[in-house]
Amino acid sequence: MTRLKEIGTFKLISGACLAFLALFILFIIFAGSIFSDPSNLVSAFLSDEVQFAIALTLVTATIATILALAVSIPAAYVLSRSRFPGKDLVDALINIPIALPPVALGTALLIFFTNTPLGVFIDNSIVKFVFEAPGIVLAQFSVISVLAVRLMKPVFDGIDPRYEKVARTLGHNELDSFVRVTLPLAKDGVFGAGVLAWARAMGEFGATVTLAGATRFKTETLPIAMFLNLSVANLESTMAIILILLGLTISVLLVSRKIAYRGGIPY
Amino acid sequence: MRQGGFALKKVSFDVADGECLALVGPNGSGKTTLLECIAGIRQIESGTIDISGIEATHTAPEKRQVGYVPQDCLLFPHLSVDQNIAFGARNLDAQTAPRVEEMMKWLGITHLINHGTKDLSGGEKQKVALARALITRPKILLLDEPFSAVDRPSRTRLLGELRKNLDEITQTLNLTSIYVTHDLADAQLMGGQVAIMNNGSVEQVGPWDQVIQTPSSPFVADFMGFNILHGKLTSKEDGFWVASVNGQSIRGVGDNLTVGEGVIAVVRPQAISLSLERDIRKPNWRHCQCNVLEGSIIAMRQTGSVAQISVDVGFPLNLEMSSDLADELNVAVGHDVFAQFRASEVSLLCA
Repeated sequence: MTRLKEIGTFKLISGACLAFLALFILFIIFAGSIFSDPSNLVSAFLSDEVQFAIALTLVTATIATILALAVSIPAAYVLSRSRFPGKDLVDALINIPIALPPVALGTALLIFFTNTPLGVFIDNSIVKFVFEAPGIVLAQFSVISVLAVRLMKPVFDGIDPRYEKVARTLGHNELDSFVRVTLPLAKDGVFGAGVLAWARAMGEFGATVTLAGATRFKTETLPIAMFLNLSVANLESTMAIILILLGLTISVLLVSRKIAYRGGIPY
Repeated sequence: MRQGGFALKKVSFDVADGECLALVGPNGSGKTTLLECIAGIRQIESGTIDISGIEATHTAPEKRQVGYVPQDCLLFPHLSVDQNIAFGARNLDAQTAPRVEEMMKWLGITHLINHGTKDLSGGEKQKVALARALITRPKILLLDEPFSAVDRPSRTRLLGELRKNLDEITQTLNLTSIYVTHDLADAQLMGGQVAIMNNGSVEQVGPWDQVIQTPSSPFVADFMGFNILHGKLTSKEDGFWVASVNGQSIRGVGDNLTVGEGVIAVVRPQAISLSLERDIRKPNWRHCQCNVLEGSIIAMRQTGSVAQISVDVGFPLNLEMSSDLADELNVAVGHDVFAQFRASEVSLLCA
């Protein structure tokens, strides 16, 4: 009886915590929504600045996600399948961007491109990253590529490596076996990781503002537009951007949750 | 080849073109590892592997022309049955479709065209995996316990079908095959030759008759279900070695033995006859050197047409005979009997 009572109390407290968190998020959204006049929200949404920020965010996040997946898929695969000297060290190193605050990552990139001979050469002669739009893509890429590796490694871990071995005895080389067997088997997980990485790229602020700066109509992604509007106390535009980001995030999370579950991502 | 603490050690055998070798051994003896080394999906540290007279030790698996049917078939779950089969022929297109269809027809699985692989029975999966391996026109077919997950009656039926298919394939393609199993009955059905593996080494390889008649090591004898009798070599009389086992003298044959050393006498249960009298019961054994041991029956079990009997002759001796003969002798537990077996049927091995 006492034990039952204990379980009951514990469940009650747990339920209260969950309800608090859900209500907290709902309250913030609700408070923000009632603060804004719907007509002002619509006009803020249709403003050139917000439209530019939406377009720039979608384009940069998509490019960064494609680049990140192109690198992360083989990296996660190697990390999952291969044994090599220093694997633990490599594993730890690629975790650094996850543990490091994005501002620190952005600062490190900024120092590299402004204070090292190689960085200055790249920035001056190959691609201009500092305070330019490519800097946004690089900042987003730096943050999401390792996240994608972390998300995809368990996906590859869950696929029996003997499928590839059988494919090889059937006349297919290593790359062919990966492309025709492993990748199709991992497609749900890879897609789920891609969607999550894309969502994270859209919300990226710290590294972006440090490397690419916060220049209106130039490096103004949605989070930066929000920051710029807030800094001049333009609360309606800020709220409109928050609601846009919220809508995008909720839809992305709903889609990715469904796909990621199917693909074996612990999400 | 080394994997954790396990390593393939002394492995050496040849399989002639068109022959089927049964690779037998207990679980963990290295059968699958050896098969994977032949297929090229595991690298060996030393030694060589020749396929059709060409060294293939360092050849990539995709270039070895080896068909591999793994233990659980491993059909690709994202492909249909015909796409799985066509995978071995690169792609399912207008050029390969007739070959796939022909292969499916040959193995009697045309009804599975466009089917997924999830709901296939064990036998169907095995046939699809076999078709997928054969469509590459391999020189060697490697079969790794393809029916290990199937119940015994179904397994016997499926093995019969596989044997029939393999006979046809062997004739058509002159295909060499290696069949891995831990079950002696399966191995006997599949292979003309047998290789016995233990702890990463091939202990004995040869035709079935030879391995059954003269097991080369106590392990092989034990694995084949022989009686294993520990004793000491005492003399050599009339061309046969004499060993003392628990006070009983047993005559047998063996190589490289020395009087006074410890020996292991091995004898097949099927090679032992039972009689109610000391005189040799089988007429054609009367001119042979025979061992005759007196004892009493301690256990009896009849399985179908076979009777398994244990006789205490100073040590337990297991023998097998037809149930009809056991009924004819009218013996039962507790009866005094004579176990008789020819000296030529006893192999004496160094202990």
